[in-house]
Amino acid sequence: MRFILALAALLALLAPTAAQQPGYVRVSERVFLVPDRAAAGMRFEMIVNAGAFDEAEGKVRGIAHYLEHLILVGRNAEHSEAAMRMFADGSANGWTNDRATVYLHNVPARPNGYAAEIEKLFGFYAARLRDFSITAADAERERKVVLQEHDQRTQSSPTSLFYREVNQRFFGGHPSGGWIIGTRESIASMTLAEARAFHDAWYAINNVWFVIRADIAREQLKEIADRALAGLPKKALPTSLKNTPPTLSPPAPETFRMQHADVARPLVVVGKMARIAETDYIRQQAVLSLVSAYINSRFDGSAHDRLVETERASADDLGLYLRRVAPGTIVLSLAGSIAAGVELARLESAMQGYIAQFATVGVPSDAHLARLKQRVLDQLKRSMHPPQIHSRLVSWLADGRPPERFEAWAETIASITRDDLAAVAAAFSAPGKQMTSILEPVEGAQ
Amino acid sequence: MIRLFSAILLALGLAATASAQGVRVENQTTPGGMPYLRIPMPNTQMQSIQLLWSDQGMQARDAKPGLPIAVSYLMGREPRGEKLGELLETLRDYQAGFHVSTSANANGISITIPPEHFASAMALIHKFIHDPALPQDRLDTYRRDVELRAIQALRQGDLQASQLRLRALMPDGPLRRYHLTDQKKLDGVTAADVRTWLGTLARDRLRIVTAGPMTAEALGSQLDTLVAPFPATWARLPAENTILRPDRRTIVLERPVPQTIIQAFGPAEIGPVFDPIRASMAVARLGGGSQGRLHAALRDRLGATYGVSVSIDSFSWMVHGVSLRTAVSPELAADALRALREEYARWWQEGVSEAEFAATRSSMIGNRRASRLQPGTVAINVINGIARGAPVDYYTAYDREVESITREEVNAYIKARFPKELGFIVVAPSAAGLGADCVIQRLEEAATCGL
Repeated sequence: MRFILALAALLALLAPTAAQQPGYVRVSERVFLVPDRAAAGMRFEMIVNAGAFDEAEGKVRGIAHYLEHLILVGRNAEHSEAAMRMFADGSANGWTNDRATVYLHNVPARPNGYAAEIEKLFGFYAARLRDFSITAADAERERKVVLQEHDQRTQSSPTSLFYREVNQRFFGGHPSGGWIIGTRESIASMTLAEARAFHDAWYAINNVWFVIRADIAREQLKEIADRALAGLPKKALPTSLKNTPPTLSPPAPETFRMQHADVARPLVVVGKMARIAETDYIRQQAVLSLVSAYINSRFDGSAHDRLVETERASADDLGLYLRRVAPGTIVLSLAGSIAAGVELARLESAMQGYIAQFATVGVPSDAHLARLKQRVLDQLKRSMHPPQIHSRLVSWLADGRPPERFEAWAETIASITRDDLAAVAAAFSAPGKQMTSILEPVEGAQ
Repeated sequence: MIRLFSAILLALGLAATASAQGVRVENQTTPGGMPYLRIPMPNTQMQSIQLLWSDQGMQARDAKPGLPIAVSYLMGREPRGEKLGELLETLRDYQAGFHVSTSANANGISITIPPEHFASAMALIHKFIHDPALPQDRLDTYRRDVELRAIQALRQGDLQASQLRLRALMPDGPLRRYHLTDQKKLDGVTAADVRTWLGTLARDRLRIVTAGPMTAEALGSQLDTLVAPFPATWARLPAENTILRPDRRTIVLERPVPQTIIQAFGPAEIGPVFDPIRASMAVARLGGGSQGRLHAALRDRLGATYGVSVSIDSFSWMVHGVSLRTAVSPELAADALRALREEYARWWQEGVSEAEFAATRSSMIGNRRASRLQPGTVAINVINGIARGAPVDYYTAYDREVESITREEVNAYIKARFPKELGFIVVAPSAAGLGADCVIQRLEEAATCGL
């Protein structure tokens, strides 16, 4: 009997865990654990809620990204080698986007667990929240490396050069018009002092998150993290200009054309910026994700159905992007290469026509909405492997969303109504700001 | 009592370990008599089915090297009498997907479906595969699009370097024409060619591997329905036999690029089955991202580049090369070339160090474990392995191989299978100071360098 009771107690302990646990544990205010018993290794990420659009005075020069490089390649007291090479058999990297900077490390399976590696990483990054060291020579060399990264990703790509120019013109001086890595000119003029100023402003315990996926006990991780992070001062964070809505003027549609010798297929981008009432950021993100799923679908009447399949104006690389750029401001853009034998003006007009149609019709039926919602819910149910949970949690936190609402994302999606979606369509029926941009071959070159 | 309790806990622990690390492969036969391999993965949520036809028929396709492009495009379009958009959206509702492809060695169909929608999704996919509309007018429009894409891509320095590298490495023939980017590649390929190709997918050469939670009972009849319309037999085609050639020259294409692009290359004698493990262990810390020797030389010491990579290029299952690729600051291009030559020569001469070898082995085992968690990855790895001649217990054999190789064997392998010196293709604003053996200004002038 005692055995049966003990077994029942054991099963009672396991059953709710298997059925209800969200797949992660909040270890402390800033630290999350994604337990992974089947782990092929350990993954450690530090997310800083500051990126390129948080640079001083809203001028995006590439400083946030440069700082990411400096932290990963500098030699610091806690680790004499560069952080990029923290573990001989592991890997490390970083990425910077408009609103976050993320540092990540992977360590392969260890027979005796990962406590030593996690302790080393917490020690390193706790120290990086205070300061970082790098010699002037190393910082200068890394600036050249960043310039090469820029040339590889942007300068060598006509499409990237085009989008950089389009963004700048569309958003004017707003941070949303910036280019995360900067320009050749801004990279040439970046200084270590500017990187330090960005670090001083944004790298603080109250502006970072740690997400660790590993086979480690919660208590052990908590002890390691608490010890490393103890005493780190909180900072008052600066106001970021990225949260100031960009201007909609001039409201009249504009056209921008760019020619490039390496282009053979003309590319057309039509963008429209509009205002929308925003009471709940997370709920609005759910609405935008569902509208995005619809406009990128192949349903009858979708952009793809109309522009690619029926009118055959665009090649099948057509893409639609809907995003919030600041509180109460959203942008819808269509981008597609011209289909063979089609006049540029026809694609331009078809894209503008689709935006007008979307503004009027929106998502056409409750049945469409129900299908889109069900897909998200099914996808969430299927994404319960630790690597998938880890990845979703990191994206969530890097986007600046509060962790308290992560678990309720499925309910948030389920609560969205067609009226919510109609509000997005209605926003684009107002004048707003619209721009058509065309990347085309140099005249007479082909 | 305590012992019994401990035994239960131990059993739970063992079960978890086995599901995480072990890949059990079962020989199965469908009710209709089609043999297949089933990999049970009971704790996963997607069922993967991989169909593969080993087809070493490059020569047969040589007249139409654009056929793979047409196959991939037209087989993804609508079945006869159906509307593409609604079918794709229904597959999205099911979270199901499929892909039809053809490559230098094989034709393949890859299917992924969650078990609860299996029958409905399979019925849709069956229509796509066995009753495709193959609209010629769509292919005609797509042809022009492919042409424009190729023209644009061929203006990029990186692809220009790759084109020259392929020309230097490979004698003219079916395999070279298959790999080269050519704006006219789709010319002469018709929807009828795709229909003919479909008729070559015969059951007698078909291998099937499944991985996921579904039982053999649930899979068997569905597999029969899927493969029944394929013809019973088709003539086996002769194997392609391309021999790569060493070319140790430095060839420069001068054009106004923002970075100097460097691709070093040479043939590597790597067998089809487990040889790639040795090759991967050999080059892992030559490239190897931030842990690699070339990264240290070109990025950390020179500040010349953002990245440098080393890869084993599989042009077919039997034809391999090694390549080093980077894009560097034009002012530092000569230094970068020198560093690449010196580091490669040192690697070839001295091999990998004990520390490099240990780190490589540890990370390879870790990566392999990670690849065993998703049914699609497991099924693809197993079917590609056995098609190349690996045993059915591919994963076990792989582990045995990784764990038993010694550093001495890897270093001997480097000297036996990798070239002592490499050739270099450079796309640069100027050839001055780069020690060029041949300089051209346009890709079309490649023949003047004997390419």
